[in-house]
Amino acid sequence: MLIRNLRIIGGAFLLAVFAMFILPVFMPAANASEAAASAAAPASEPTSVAAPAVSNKDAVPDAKAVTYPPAPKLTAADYPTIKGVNSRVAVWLVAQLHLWFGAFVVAVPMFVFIIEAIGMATRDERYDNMAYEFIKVSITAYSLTALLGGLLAFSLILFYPDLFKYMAAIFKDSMFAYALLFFAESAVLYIYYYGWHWLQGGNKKWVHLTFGLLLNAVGCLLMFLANAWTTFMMSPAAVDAAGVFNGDTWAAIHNFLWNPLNIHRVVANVAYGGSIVGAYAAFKFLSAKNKEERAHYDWVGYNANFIAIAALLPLPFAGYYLTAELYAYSQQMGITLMGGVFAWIFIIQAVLIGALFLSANYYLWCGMGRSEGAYRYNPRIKYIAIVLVAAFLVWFTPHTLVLTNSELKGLGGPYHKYLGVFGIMPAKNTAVNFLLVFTFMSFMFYRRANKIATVTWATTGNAIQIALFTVGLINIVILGVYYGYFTNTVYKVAASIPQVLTTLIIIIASTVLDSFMYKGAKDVAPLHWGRMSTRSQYALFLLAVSFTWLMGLMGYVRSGIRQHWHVSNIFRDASPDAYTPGLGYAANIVSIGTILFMAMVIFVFWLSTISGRHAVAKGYWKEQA
Amino acid sequence: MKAYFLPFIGAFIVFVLVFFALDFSIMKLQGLTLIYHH
Repeated sequence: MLIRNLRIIGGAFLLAVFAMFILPVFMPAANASEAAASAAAPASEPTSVAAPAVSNKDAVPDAKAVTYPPAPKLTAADYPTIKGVNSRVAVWLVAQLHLWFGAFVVAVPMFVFIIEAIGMATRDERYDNMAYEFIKVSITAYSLTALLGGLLAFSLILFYPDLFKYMAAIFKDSMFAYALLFFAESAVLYIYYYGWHWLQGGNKKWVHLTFGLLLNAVGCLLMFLANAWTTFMMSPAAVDAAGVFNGDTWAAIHNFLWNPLNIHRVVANVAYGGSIVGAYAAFKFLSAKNKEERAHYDWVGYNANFIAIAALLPLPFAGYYLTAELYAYSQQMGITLMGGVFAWIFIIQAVLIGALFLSANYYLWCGMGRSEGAYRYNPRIKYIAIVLVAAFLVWFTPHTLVLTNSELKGLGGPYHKYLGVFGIMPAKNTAVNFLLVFTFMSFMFYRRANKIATVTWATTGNAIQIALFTVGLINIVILGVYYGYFTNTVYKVAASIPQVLTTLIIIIASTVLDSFMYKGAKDVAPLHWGRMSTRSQYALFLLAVSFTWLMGLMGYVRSGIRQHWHVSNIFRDASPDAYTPGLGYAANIVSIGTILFMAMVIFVFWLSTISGRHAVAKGYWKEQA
Repeated sequence: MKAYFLPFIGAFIVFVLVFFALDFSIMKLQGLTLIYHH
C-alpha cells in the first residue's frame, strides 16, 4: 500500500516538474532580456504617447539571424469579409464569450483547491462534496471555453489575417507553449475531476490536492500568456517604432501592462467565479424538491457569496493599480480612458459595482434570518443600508454632464453647485472605502448573529472595535476631504494609499480581534440552512449578471482605448470598423454578449441537473437470461 | 457604561496615533508632508 502511494506521489511530482519546465523551454530568451525590458519601460517618459521601442541591436544572440518584418501598412481591402457578418462584432462577441468562460474555469479551481484543503483540515465531508460539485460545473464550461477559443482563433485568422500573422511572428514561442499547456491543463483537470472519488483518504488525498495545485499553476500560466498578447497590443515592447520585433520574446511578454493586468484578472476571476457558482447554487435552491436539498444549496450559495465578496474587497484596488499603470504608460491612453469618450462607461461601471455591493450585502442580511440570534443586529442593518446607498450615490455622480446650452445656463456652469464636489476621484475613493468597510461590517454582523462571546473581556473588545471603526472612518474622510479639496493633484493621488491602508487595517485588525473574542463562543441555536427567502436567491443571480456585464463593458473600454490601432502606435487598424462606436452601440453589443453568456451558463447548470437523473425504461431492453 | 466607555476612550486615542503615524509615514515615503504647503 505504501509503495503504491509513493508511486502515485512520485508520478504526480514528476508530472508537476515536467509541466513547470515546459514554459521556459519555449522561452529561450527569458534571462537575456531583463535589461532590455527595463530599458524599454516607458515609466521614465510618462507623457510619451509613442510605444517604447528597443533597437534591434539589443536582440538576444540566438535571435540575431532572424529578421522580422515591420508592422504591415494595410488598407480596407486587406480585411477579408463574409457577407452578412460584421467582422468586429463577430470577433468582439466570440472573444468576450471566450474570456467569460475562461475567467470562470481559471477561477473555479482556485477556490475548489482552498475548499478541498479546508475539508481536509476540518475533516468535514460537506466541503469536499461542495468542491467536487463546483469542479463538476466547470467541466462543461471548460469544453465551452476551448470551443470558443478555437472559434476566436478561426475568426481572427479569417477576418484579421495580417494582425494574426504579425502577432504570431512575435509570439510564436509562447503560442506553441500555450497549445501544449492546454494539453497539460486538460490532462490535469480530467485527473483531478475523474480521480476525485478514487484519490480519497490518507496520502491519496494529498496527491489529489497536489493535482489541484498543479491545475491552478497551469491555468494561471495559460491566462498570463494570453494576457501578454493582449497587453502587447496596448503597451508593445521589444519592437521599434516601425514595429520590427527584436527577437526578445520575454520582453514582448513582460510588457509594461502585463503584470498589472495579471493581478487584476486573477482577483477579478475569483470574484467572478464565486458569483457564477453562487448563481448555480441559487438555480439549484430554487429548483430544489425537498428541504434537505434547499438546505444544502443554501449553504453552497452562502459559501459562493463569501468567495465573491472576499475577492470583491481587494478588486477596486487592483483596478486602481491597473489604471494608474496605464496612466504611467501613456497619459493619452489614461485620459481617453477616464476623461474622454469612455468616461461615461465608468459611470455605468460605478452603478454596476454599486449593484454588486448592494446585492452582496442584501444576501448577507437575508442570510441572518437563518439564525435565532440575528434579532440583536437587525436594527443596525438600516444604518449600514443608508451608508451604502449614500456611498453608492457619491460613487456614480458624474464629474461633467453632457448638457445642452440651455441646461448649461440653467445649471450655472458645467458642474452642479452642490453635487459637483462629488464628481472628483477623492470623493469616489472615500465612497468606495466606505462601501468596503460597511460591507465588511455586514459580514461581521452575519458572523456574530448566531454566536455569544464567552470571553470575559467581550465588552472591552467591542469598545475597541467601535473605536477602530470610528477612528478609521474619520481618517478616511480627512484624507479624502483635506487632500482631495485643499491640495494639488500630487497630494490627491498620494492620499489614496493611506486611505486604502486604513480600510485594510480596519478589516484585518477587526478580523483578528473578532477571532479571539469569539473563540469558544456559544451558538445561539443550530443555523436553519434553507430558511432563506426566494428574493435572496435573485440577489445571487443579480451578482452574477452584474459581474458579467461589468466585465464585458470594462473589457471593451480596456481594448477600445487603443482606438484606431491594432497595436498601439505601431500597427494601424485600417478596417472599415476602425473607429470608436457610440456608447449606446457598445453597450448593446455587450448586453447581447451578456444574454448569450447567461443562456449558455443556464444550459451548463441544466446539464448538471440531468446528469444525475436515471430514467427506468421498463420493457425497452430485452430481458437477459 | 463605564466598562464600555473607558476602553473606548483608550482605544480611540491609540488608534488616532496609529492612523496618524500611518498617514505621516505613507506621505513621507512619497516625498510629501502631512500638511500641504504651496
